[in-house]
Amino acid sequence: MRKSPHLLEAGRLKIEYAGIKAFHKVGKYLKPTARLIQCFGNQATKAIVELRAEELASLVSGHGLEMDLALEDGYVIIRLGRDVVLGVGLWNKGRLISQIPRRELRAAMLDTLFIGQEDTKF
Amino acid sequence: MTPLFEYYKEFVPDFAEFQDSLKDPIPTHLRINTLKAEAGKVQNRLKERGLKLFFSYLDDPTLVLAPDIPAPGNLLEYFLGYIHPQAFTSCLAALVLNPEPESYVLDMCAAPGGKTSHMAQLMGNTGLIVANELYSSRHVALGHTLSRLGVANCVITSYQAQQFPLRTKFDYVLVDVPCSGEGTFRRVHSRSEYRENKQKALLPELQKKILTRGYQVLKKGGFLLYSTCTYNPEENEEVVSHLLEQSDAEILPINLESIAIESGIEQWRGRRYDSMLRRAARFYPHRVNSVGFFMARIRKPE
Repeated sequence: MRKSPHLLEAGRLKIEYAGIKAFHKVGKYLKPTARLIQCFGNQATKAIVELRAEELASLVSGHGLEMDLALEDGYVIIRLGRDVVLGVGLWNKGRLISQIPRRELRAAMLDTLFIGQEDTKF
Repeated sequence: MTPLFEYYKEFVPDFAEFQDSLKDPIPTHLRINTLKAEAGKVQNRLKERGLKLFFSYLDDPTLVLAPDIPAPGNLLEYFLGYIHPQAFTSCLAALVLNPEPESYVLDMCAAPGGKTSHMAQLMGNTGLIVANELYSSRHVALGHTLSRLGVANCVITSYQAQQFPLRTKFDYVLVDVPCSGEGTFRRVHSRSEYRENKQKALLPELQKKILTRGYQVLKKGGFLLYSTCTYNPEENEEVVSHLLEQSDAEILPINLESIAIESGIEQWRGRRYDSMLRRAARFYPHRVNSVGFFMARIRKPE
């Protein structure tokens, strides 16, 4: 949008919202939104946690996941398999907690994933 | 069963078939959102999970009938923004307006954002769409749809559509007005009853004002689409005819191959409309197996 020549024209209107929200302020930290991560997370090269379908189901149900990964504490990208970027998690001392709103990513959404679960590529 | 919409018998073709079609539910229809995923990959993934999909418009792999999916909002693909449940006829609106990439577009009554996001998809997230929605209570749903589907070329405004500022002009304008919604009704339960919209008689005046303003903010050489989901000529042909009487607007033909379109009508209850209204399109449930719909494609001459 920043590159659009029409932005100057639209600037003459009273704008309520623009684009996609990129970050929330959480205390002194900036947390990326799930929607931002879904758009650009496939370009990330670090801070990525790749999950299998059953691990994702456990996470979405509200359980944290203990994992042995070499990650710095902080926000990470949660990915299902190699290609499906879901959103943001919080990695803290070897434990992953989902930061994806539970009303948006519900456990019931994952039920059909277990058909053909060996292939989670999109 | 009380016959429905008897007063439209004179112009709805195969009226008995039309009435029969109202007993069936509107089938689940999905638009695959290519801003976030490739159409073929999404189709394959759903099919691998045993969900049947059927192309609804031969030329377009993003439009699919999904009779096996009664609640698409419960799919992971919905959360990811790969799919959007949207009636087939509603999807045709953006296809007919066909905004080009890098263009400047106005959606005058945008919420909840299905057509807005479809236009963004056709534009490849380039250019700029102004999504106007008067009611702030509907901004949440509009914003949610746009962000879920990865629409990044959109701003939201909150003007009364009929008073949208004249200080900026658009390449394309979508005028999908509030209407009586007759096309959405289905008698799917024995208790289903059609209740006429109490505001129905008041709607044409509002619709005329919105369409007039939409035409005023259209650039010369620009294109506008007027659409409703009602069968009522007073909200359809009469509104467009009003614009033709007071402006130099032209109605263009609508070419949708393989889709059963009925022409706009030229008279109703003693009123005659401009003969150009024959170029408007009516979509009936017994022809297209979707929501009843009306559209008129309009151009402002250079």
